[in-house]
Amino acid sequence: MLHHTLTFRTIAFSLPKKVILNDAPDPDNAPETGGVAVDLRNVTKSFGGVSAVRGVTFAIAPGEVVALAGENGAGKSTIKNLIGGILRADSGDINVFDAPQSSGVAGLRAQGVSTIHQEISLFPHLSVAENVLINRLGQYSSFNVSQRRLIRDATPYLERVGAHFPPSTLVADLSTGQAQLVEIAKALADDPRVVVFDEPTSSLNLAERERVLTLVEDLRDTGVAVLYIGHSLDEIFRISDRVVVMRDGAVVGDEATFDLTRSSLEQLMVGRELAEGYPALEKPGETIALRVRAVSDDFVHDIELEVHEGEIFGLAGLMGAGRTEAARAIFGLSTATGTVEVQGRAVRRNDPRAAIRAGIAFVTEDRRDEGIFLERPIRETLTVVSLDGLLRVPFLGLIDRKAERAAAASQAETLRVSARAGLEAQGGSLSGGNQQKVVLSKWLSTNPRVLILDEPTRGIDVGAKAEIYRILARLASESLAILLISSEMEEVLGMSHRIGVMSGGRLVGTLDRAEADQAKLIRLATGGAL
Amino acid sequence: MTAPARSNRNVLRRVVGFLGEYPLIVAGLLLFFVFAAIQPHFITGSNVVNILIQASVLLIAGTGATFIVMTGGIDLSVGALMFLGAAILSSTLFGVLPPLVALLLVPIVTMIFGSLNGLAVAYAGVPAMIVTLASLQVFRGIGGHVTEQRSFIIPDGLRVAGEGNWLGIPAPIVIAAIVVILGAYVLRRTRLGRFVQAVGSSRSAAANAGLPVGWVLVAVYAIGGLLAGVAMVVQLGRLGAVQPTLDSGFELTVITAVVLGGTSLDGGRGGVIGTALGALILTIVENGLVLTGASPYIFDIVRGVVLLAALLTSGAPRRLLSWIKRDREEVLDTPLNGPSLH
Repeated sequence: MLHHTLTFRTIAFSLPKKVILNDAPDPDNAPETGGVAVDLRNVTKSFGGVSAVRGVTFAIAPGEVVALAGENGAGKSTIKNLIGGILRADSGDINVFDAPQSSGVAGLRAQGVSTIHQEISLFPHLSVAENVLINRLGQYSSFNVSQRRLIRDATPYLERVGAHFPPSTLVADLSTGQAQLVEIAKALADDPRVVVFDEPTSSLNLAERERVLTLVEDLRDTGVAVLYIGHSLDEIFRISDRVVVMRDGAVVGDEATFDLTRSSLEQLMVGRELAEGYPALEKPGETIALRVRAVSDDFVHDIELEVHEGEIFGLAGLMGAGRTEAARAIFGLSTATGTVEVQGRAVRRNDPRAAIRAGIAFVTEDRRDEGIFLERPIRETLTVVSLDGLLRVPFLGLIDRKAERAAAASQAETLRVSARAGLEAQGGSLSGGNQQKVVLSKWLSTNPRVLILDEPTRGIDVGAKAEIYRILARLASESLAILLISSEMEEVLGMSHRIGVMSGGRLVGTLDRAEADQAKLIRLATGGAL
Repeated sequence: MTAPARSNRNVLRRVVGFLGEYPLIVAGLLLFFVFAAIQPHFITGSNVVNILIQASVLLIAGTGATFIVMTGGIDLSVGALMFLGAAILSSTLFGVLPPLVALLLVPIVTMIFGSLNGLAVAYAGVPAMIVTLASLQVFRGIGGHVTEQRSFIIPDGLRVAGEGNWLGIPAPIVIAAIVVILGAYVLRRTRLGRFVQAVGSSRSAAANAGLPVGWVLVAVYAIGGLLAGVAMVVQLGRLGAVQPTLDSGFELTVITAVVLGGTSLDGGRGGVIGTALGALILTIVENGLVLTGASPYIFDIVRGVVLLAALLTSGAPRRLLSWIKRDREEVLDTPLNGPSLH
């Protein structure tokens, strides 16, 4: 059964921590469900005439994990904000334990509803302990809040989420993943009966991810009602009892997880059958497009790799293994030693402009902050790296607006960016998938020979992901050399000709697609030998 | 929807779109009529010319400051820089060099000092607020040292930019108009302008795209310094004298005009035309209060209230616009990124 293979894969994925096979949740074994924890009836919400959520009805029972699935823009976040009390519904009812939902975040907390937002909402200059207990500070003496007591009281919650850093640390000094764990500990400190998780694992490493998923299962077993929003189908199949699927603001499916397969779920989310899996890759060429020799800096050591024309070289590894840092060093964004050659010609080191001229393009991990200009017209992001070719009087730097508009339009056309409000709309108005396509087109306008992509499909919905894969396969067939960094093992395995694995800042092994599998990648990534 | 209704809607959309971009036009006209109703002399041709002359220094300095604020920076040193220029002109250049050469040299000197701000912001990684807070004191100190805190009378030969009349138009208006139009053009239509907006929108995205971020930052502070010098040349021409407190606190008026004009202090959004409207509004208020015989002590109060009121109401045209074009808006997942203008 497909479902079982998936569960197994998730486990293999998180080797070697957990060996017990955690089979699908057994419906008979669930704690007795006393009524309904959260009940949404015919809930509707619109913004400025645009309906975001239409007639949504579903319920979550105590001791049940309900996954909310859907593409970006399907209305998941609106539902989260409605349940979390940040928005009020235009019409319909939301009941919490058979009582009408109280208004405001504080009132909801009293009703036992905690929401763990994807955007971290901690106080960076307060300690971890203070942040965890922030909603309960009123219980302490108002003149002297004893740090020791705070630390003592916060420790159990931190242990529960597997946070292994001192509670006295300032939140500002934590990594994103660690801050996410504090955010979860803070929600637990409110002693909730309903917890809404919004993509809690997107910034976590494997061990942390496993810990959070186990925690969700613990919460369920103690009778807490959980709404779990996530893009990872693996996680949804692993922990949920039921999946509510949304599309265009409406619920299009509400099924027991047991009755779903991966493809039936994808089909529900997208509304059509997805092309099967990953596109076929053509055989790469002979010429070496990118040659990296002995590149080292503060984070990576002795990176050596070659990517041929038309080849997709996947770079796998755990979070913190140095994949992003390797890409930054190759592109010249850090002060690194060693040599980088593009088609046999050495690239001046530590100068991104020289790298761009030599034909390297770098699609960074954080497209919102580092790739697209959120507040500027989409057109400006599209043309910013190729502006030199769009000038009327190059000496004065006068932009040829007609040429610029035409260039932007044809770029958007090539990758089929769907910007309903046109290319003059702000970059921030696009969906994640379209933002990524804009960033890709931006770089393609420089006619690169080598394309480096860092987590190109993170936070992108299923349909857009498949489209990005097709684009990459096509670019490779047009003899572009691609270096693909991804935390999703399946993606690396499905989309690469060869796969390099990094661990501790070093490239510890390179595998051909044919010989690679998840177990081997994990073994290399965790410092083992083949 | 029927065809005429649609075209009406388009016209409405355009008008509101324009006003949405420059909500100050409405506010400016409103103020204008209020003052005109109280004091008929306010709308005479000579007073309108007067307002433009009074606004010229702020228009010129504000244009430079707009470039800086667009990158997410700020320049607290602009008033001190202007004083520095005036001090050097009055105490050292005058008498040594021919008047015209001395006048031309001043903006160059202020441009060099301004780019020092830019170098510190771009390459030393110090926040612009701190860099220019420090340079404010250094510049004023140099100016005070050079003049030994004395006052100077400016000879007529150096007053052409303030007193002159070119083609029947007072020189300050001509200079301010050229600066504003050129500034708006550079910001909107040139590669430098695009880079300024890109750096202000996201410095790391700009760096990753291989833009010369450091160079852009130095350039905007250099432009700010250059225009501070030009503003000073006009101002001296009008005042005819330098005293030690010249332009003390002027940086706050400049920033008020920039913010009033809709440029975001976070960078990336805004423009020179907005700043020009902001500068004109501030001047209209001041001129109107003088003409209507209001107490000079309330000027600052009114300025502050105008700034707050403008910022509080500036969302209104945007909201109206998003209502009009709602049929085109994308459905957004989070309300926090709600519909917006551009």
